[in-house]
Amino acid sequence: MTRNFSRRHFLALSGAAGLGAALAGGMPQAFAAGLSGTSLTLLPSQAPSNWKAVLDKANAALLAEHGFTLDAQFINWSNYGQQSLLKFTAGASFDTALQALWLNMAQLQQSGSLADLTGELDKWPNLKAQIAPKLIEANSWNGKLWGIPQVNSAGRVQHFSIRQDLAEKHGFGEIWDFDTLERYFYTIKEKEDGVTPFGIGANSTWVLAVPTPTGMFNQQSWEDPTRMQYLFAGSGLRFLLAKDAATTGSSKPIPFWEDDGVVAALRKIRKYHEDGIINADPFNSDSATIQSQFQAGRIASIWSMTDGLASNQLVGLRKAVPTASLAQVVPFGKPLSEVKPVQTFQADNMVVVNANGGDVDRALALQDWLSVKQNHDLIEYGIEGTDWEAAGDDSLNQLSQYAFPGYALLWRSALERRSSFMTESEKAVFDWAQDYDNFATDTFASFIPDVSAVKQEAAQMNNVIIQHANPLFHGLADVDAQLDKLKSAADAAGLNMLQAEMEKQADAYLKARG
Amino acid sequence: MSTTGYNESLLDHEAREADKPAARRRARRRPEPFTVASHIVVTLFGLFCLIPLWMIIAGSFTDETVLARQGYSLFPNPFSLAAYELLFSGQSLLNGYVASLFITLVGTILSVSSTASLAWVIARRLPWISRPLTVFAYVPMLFHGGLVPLYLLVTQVLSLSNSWFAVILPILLAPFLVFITVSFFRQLPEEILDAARIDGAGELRIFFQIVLPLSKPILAVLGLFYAVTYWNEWFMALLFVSDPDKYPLQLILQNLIANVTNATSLPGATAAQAAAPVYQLRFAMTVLTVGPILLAYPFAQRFFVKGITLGATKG
Repeated sequence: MTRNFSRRHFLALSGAAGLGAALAGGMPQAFAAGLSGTSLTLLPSQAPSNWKAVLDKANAALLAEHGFTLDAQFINWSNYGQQSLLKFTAGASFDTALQALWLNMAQLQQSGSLADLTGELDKWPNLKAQIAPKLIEANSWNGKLWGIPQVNSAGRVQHFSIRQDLAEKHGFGEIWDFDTLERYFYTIKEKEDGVTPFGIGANSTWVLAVPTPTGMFNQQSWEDPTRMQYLFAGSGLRFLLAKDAATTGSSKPIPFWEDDGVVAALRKIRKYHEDGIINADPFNSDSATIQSQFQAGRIASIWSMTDGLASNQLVGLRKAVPTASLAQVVPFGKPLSEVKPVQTFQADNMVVVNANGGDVDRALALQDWLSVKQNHDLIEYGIEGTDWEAAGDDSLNQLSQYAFPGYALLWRSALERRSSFMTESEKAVFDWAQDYDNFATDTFASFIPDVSAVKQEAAQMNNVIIQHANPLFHGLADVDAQLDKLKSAADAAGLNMLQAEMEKQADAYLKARG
Repeated sequence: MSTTGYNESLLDHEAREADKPAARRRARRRPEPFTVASHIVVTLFGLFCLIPLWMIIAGSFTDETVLARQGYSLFPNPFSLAAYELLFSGQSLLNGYVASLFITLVGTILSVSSTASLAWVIARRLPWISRPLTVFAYVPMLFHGGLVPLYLLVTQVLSLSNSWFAVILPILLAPFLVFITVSFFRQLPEEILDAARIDGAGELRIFFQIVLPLSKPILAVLGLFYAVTYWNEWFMALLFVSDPDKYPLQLILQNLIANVTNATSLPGATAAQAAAPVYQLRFAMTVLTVGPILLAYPFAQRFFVKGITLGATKG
């Protein structure tokens, strides 16, 4: 056999290899990397209405450009967390998935299920151009990047979406400050029969009191939006860290109930509950029910986020109240140009790469391809002319029911288009939220507490929060009596250990960042 | 006077005699107080059960804004088909019905066959066979292997991803129903089986031609239990079926309701999705899912009660 491998064969092989290398030099990077097959991605929600046609078009382009195709498995939101965790754990074959701290990202990172993407972005110019360095820095855990952050704005600030038509009917103009908003609530209660001034669902009522950097009814945080809350896992006990930690080098974490502003907010929430300002049944109302009631005109204001979504409510609302209009009230008490709230810039959603059954190069090649406006528009909005049409440079009119969960695969701030029905009020807020310079970076911006040392205590504390803190956040219990119960249950669940561990890790973070 | 009086009394007497059977009939017809009370109670209970069901149906046809504002009512006003339009405009419900029917029919046939076969072998008390099979059937009632091993088994060992059999096989055999069937089989008269043996029938012939025809009540119970289980099954499909064209009805509807519920608060939703009728859709989904399987109950009702009680009297 060795005799058969002659010098002629060797020269022929060398020539072929050389030719291959030369061709690779002129090919896209992915082809040079030898990418092939199908990049399967796990996505929440369901396939958009025209998904097959869009996918065919995308795959024709992907195949020609990179040599592989895209496929997506859609899992409904109610089961996404459990199902994606199962597939990661079982080593199923797929490239990417949506993950987040509020899902199972910390657990997956600790179990070695996520591919380390540190330094990988440098190889993909389109992707790198779309992800701000600040975003990468804030979303790196101890200097390592475990996912591609998906954001459509620089800062995320929770705020109120209020019925402006009702405000004008009762003599209110533009509402900026807390006192006027409170007067608006009481006026609605008094003069609009059957309308609840503010509605919120059971899922996340802590946002009413604990600052991130503002609590919605935390008046102190309106005036001083400089603190963020930190916690060990996706839910549980929220700690506030010292405001002067950057100068003192000491984090001094306190549980949220030791903050005066939070306690004052809890008292206010209790009063609002007793006065009928907040919906009386927050434990039984999910967010969909609240939205439905808001759209039916039975609620005058709801929670919103600076993600450009608030105006969506208007479509349903105007079916019930044709003259309805909306305004965004951002909780700073002054015009947006005069505030600079802190942000961690940690993304709510990340695209992670499956370390056990995925292909990092193929996954990042796809992310790179999706960072080109034409490709991004195709997947996120569908086929132009069929599913959408451009309205100006950055807006669109939707022509079909096509709705892709872009936040789970391809959100790029600079490439996102806005719905043509976005209100002027929301446009102003959304524009402001796009600019990193409008925010200050929190001292602990990229600090991700590691729960492994206090796993048991964190789990116990989670139960304590559900049982004893949620009634406070909903305003359903007397504040002093319930706080006593909460503190005593928290002590029994291992508050001291959690606090000490948080302090240890936060101080170490401060020391490391210098 | 007297004649007249006699005649009158005679006439009265005859009339009374003539009225006696009618009176007895009337007396017989007059309902017992207990019967009246029980009819009232049962009727009230029937209404107690039916009114919520009717309100769900009426709600599914009531406009969302009215539902959200005024709550439920007995009659849909204003009438709206928005929820049904949304349900039928999404993924093909026809595909879903085909998938669910396949899973229900094939699954029920396979499950009833395997349950009856296993139960018969256990019921025969065969040395070295029945006891190990009893343990085999009993252990899964107490312990479960867990989700990850099940996932690995179905996807990597059996390679059943995207197959409707991935929905059927994991729930093919319900241990509880095996033991109900064993109890039933043990009540069958041994003399009949002995007579068949004397006539030269083998075990298979005895099972198929003697035992199964005598066991229609328990087979109907098994069929009904399994059919309802397969019809309602969506979790196995969620785990193992990723091709939307193969989704069973329950998974399609579960996806739809979950996504509409979340669409209002998630980025990426269109305005139309954000304005989807949440209450109305929940009702319409209930109507669509319970409707078909509800039809199965009247057919199996008489076997259902008899089968359960027969199986339960002897352990």
